[in-house]
Amino acid sequence: MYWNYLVILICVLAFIFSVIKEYRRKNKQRLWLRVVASIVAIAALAALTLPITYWSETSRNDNEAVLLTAGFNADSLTKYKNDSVYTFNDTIKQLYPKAKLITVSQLKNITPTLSAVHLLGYGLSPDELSQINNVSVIFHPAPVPYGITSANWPEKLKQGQHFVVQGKFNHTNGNPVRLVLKELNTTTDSTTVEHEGIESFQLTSLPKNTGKIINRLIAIAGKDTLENEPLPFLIEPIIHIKVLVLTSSPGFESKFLKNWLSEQGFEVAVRSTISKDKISTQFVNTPQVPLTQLSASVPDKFDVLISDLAALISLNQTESASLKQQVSQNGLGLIIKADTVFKTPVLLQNDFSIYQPADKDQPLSPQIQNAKLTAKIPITGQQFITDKEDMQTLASDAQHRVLAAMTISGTGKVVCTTLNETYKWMLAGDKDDYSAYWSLLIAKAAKSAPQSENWSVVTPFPTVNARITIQLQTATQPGAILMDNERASPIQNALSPFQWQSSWWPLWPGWHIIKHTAGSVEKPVYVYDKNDWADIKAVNKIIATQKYASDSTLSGVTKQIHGKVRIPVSKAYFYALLLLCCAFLWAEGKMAPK
Amino acid sequence: MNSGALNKIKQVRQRYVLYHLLADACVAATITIGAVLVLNILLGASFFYAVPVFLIIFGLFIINRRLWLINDTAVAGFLDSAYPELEESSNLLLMEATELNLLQQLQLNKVSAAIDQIPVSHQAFTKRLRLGAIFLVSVSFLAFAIIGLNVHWSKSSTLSIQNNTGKNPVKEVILPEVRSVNVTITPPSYTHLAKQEQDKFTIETVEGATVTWKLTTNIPVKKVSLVFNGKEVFPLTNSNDSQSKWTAWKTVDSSGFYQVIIDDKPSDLYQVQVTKDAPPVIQIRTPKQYTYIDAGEKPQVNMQALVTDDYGVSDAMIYATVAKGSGEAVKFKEQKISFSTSFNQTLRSYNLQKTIDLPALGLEPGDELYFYIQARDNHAQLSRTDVYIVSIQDTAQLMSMDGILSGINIKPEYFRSERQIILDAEALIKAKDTLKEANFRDRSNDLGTDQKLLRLRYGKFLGEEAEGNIADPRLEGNTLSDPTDFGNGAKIKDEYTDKHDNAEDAQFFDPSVKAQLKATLTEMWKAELQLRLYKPQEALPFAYKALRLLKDLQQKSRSYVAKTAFNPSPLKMEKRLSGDLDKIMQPADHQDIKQQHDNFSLLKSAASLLQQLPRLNSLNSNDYRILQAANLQINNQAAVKPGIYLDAAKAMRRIMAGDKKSLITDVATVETAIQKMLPAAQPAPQAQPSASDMGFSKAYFLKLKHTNR
Repeated sequence: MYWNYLVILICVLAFIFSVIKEYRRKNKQRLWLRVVASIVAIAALAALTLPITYWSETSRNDNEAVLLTAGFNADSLTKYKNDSVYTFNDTIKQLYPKAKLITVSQLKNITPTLSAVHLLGYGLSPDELSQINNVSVIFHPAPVPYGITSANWPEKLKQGQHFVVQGKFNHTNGNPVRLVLKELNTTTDSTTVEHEGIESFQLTSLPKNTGKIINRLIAIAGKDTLENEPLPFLIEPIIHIKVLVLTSSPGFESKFLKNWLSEQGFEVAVRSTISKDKISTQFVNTPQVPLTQLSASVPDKFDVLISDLAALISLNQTESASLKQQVSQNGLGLIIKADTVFKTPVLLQNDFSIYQPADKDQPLSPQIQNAKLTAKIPITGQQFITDKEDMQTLASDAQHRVLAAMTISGTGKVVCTTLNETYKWMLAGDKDDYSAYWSLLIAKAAKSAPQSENWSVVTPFPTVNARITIQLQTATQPGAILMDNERASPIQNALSPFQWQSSWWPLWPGWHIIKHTAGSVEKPVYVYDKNDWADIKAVNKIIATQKYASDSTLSGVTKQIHGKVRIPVSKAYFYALLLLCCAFLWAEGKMAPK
Repeated sequence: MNSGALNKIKQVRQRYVLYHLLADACVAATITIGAVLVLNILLGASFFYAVPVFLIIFGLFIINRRLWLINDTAVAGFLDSAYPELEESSNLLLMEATELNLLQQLQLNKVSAAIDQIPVSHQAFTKRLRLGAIFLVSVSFLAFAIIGLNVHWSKSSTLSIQNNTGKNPVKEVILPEVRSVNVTITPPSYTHLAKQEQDKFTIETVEGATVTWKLTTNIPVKKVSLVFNGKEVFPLTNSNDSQSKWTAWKTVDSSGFYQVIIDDKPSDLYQVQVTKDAPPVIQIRTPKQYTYIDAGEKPQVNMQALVTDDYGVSDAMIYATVAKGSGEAVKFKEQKISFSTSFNQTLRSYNLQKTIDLPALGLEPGDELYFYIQARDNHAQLSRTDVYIVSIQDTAQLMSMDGILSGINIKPEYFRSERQIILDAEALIKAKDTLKEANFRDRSNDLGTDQKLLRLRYGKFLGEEAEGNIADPRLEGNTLSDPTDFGNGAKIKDEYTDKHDNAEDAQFFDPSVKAQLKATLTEMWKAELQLRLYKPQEALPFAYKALRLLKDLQQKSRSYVAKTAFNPSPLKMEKRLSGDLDKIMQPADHQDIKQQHDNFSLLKSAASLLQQLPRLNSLNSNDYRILQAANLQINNQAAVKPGIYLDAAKAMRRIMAGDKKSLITDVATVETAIQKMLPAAQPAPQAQPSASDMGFSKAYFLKLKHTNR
């Protein structure tokens, strides 16, 4: 728009200049003719640079065209013999030489204006669709491609967590397809898809590596590799949690828990009552603090408090009030080990109720969330938690009787468990079970770790040579964002002042590093190659194009009634005019007597 | 007219020549197939020789057949002989018409008409062709069958040869300077394995083998050396003037890999796979781990053992230990027993047998024999079995149940009595010659009575019936006649009941003491019997045994209490049960546990780096350092387990050298190896990250809470 004004301004200046020049000219013969010629020449010059259009009624005849996209079927083109065929893609041009290769803007400017475009194949990407926004589209989608049509996996994991990839496979023929999950070129899990139709799958592995990892998902039919797709994700280092353990008496449970946590570098403090008004305190990897009285400042220093019920009951009023405050307002995690004194629960009266079923002779095999443990617990005297609505079950037995559960209390979380002899698992050699169980409980309860900045990629499947939008959440002003050391200034979200967005077009696939000039965190972003996850991209295109097509048919009705269209005026006329005027001015100068 | 008949003769001739040529071709082809097949099987000649062979044979046939000599006259002759209707006149057709006389003219006309009826082809012509065709077809079938079999056979034979030549058909990449290599592997003499020669660098042998390399280069080189496991440099010595022959020898003790370096140019890595000599394996078939020989059984053990080793057993021995006595007084005696088998031949397996006579080893009832077999192989490696135990039953302790404490003191004066009986008996034996017969008998009988009394006294301890119990109630001391007791059933019952073996009467001995007491009483019975038979000499052993048992009882009832020197301080009664803990310290413990360094961190970063490697154009110095560290770790693993990690070590070298040709497969190989080396990840508790939202959500929560209130 500025360009137009600039051109007009320059032309006006040139016009004034030329008029003044003409006026001052000694030879006043044919002065007015020369002035008119100058005006016309400058106007023609301006018209050459400015887009001059006029409105015209569209011809009501059905001027339709066919646009081919990837996945089209050449046989379906017989229906559109009379229509001209276009494509945006040069590989389609090679496949179907009759198609004319054009750009998006060219499609919009085809004259006479197209009344509708038949879109064949998988359709267009949202980016392309936003560019052809005026064109009315009739979409004839290609069938959903044979292959992996959806996949989901975590973008970030912590060490020791399982990597789970879930997805759907569109199976169109009867040959069994093997889906293999590979980690560092080693098969860690596989499954077979046999039935026709869309079948879902899930593959799991426990990554050994840390940092930036690319697992691969391979679909094999017989000897053919159908797909070999990357599954990039990050394994982040452990953030150490500070744990405070309260016990009403010294015991193996707290001792084993302390040893297990401290050998992994966690900060642990244990307070156990050993006699009347006498406590024993142990601190590992953390400086000593007075724990005789649980003043308000003490729980604040920790992320999780693990306590047995008796120890909670023995707290005095100020202590329990401050603890409650810490849990509900500061997000302190509380793990309560329920024991026989369950009749008088103190801190969180209504959250958990505990019952003890009649004994059976078989030992129980507990399971945590979806993983089964090999460790056994004796049934004798085992208590369970009554299942409730606002409660998340963390551990249960095979009959789904709850052994550990979590609820939310204000900003904090409260976990209750009735397993009081887990140290026996450690003694029996089931260290993995012990680790898995306590990792889950502590992770669920722990106060969330504060983060100075939080990066995320908005674009699904960020692809090379395509626009990628990234989002940053930070409390501090980010300055410039560096993407592969290219500077860009982010846009601040109008409603959430801590959200910033920026976008960029990566030039090569693989891991890219983004960070901001004021920040310390380097966020690796994986950019996919153009051919990665082609089937999922095709499905996404179909969905986007279908939505666009249904929208355009709705608005297309009104468009047909108005039927007015801008038509650009050919530049040739202006060239001729300019030439004519210039020629006259030149010839007049030559002809004038000296 | 004439020309038509002439034509007929020409046609017949052509047909004849054609059939014969075809027949010859068939026969020639048959011979060719046979000949080429034989040549192929025997000499391995190519099947392409078939073409010249066929041409030669066919040519010979044509020359032999001389078909060009078959002219029309001959055909006319044949027709004359074959068809009587021609009346032997067909040669008239071949004559010039002008030369014929009238009769001949007439005959010609007749023959011309007849010859028109004669067919062109004849059965006789095709006879050879048919025969030839049958030959050709059958030989062809035969040939195909043989070729099929032959291919099958040769395939299987080549396969078996491959198996013989080497277990790893891995292609070796050798330096271009190397013209030839001769590796001689001499296994150690004790293995009795044959010397091996090979032209490969990959070595597969047994521990301690001597390997000699003879390397011939095609150009003179300055220096050749072998580098073992990436660190141990081992130079080769030159053995000729032109500096092209290099030799070295080395004893190989462990698996690993090596490379040849010619003038600082390193070769590929070659594997060294060493099989360790296993120690001998001993299986004892009999006796069982614990053998108990009951009284009355033959005190001997039949030992059967199988000793095997991978190269040869040079010795095997039984190491026996005899344990005598019990408690603190156990004495051990060790001795070696050799098998009767001779181990001179050092066979791989020996079936050993030995019968051990226990009394010969000095074993008595109650003693135990501990033994194990130790075998030595010809590489002086020892192995031994578990300890086996043989024990002989002790009749004296038949009923003994040790381990149950007895707190009851057996009074010592009783034992003196038994000793007294022995002393008296011995005195009686001494005085036997000086005493009268009747006197001797009386004294012997008196001793018997004493022995009986003593026995009865001990019997009381066991609740045995006493002599008094058996007395007739009607005699003295009969209290039943008291009239006040009339109708007292309990009293009558009490009076007439034989109350022996009353458990209430018995003292509370523990079972072991009771058992021993019973054994003692038995001995006393026997001693009494001999004394009553006036044989004090015979009674003595039983008396002695009874005494020994009693002594033993006495020993058993003793218990040891150590003297202590602890004097507790007097209690302050005013402080007792007051619950005052003021002076008790509150224990506070503080420790810092150092986090273990992750040995695999560099390997992990290398794995991440390798995944991006195919896309990177060049490595920066930091990346190179990471790869180098990973390379070192893989090399160390390859030195220990070359079978698993050598390929990865090779691939890593190529990657480090910037070899782009096989980069993707190399990266895959190294990745697999790294995945194998990395330990499994341990779960650890992790905090959820919070949103960095300037405290927005928390403020919202607090506000919400406030308004709800």
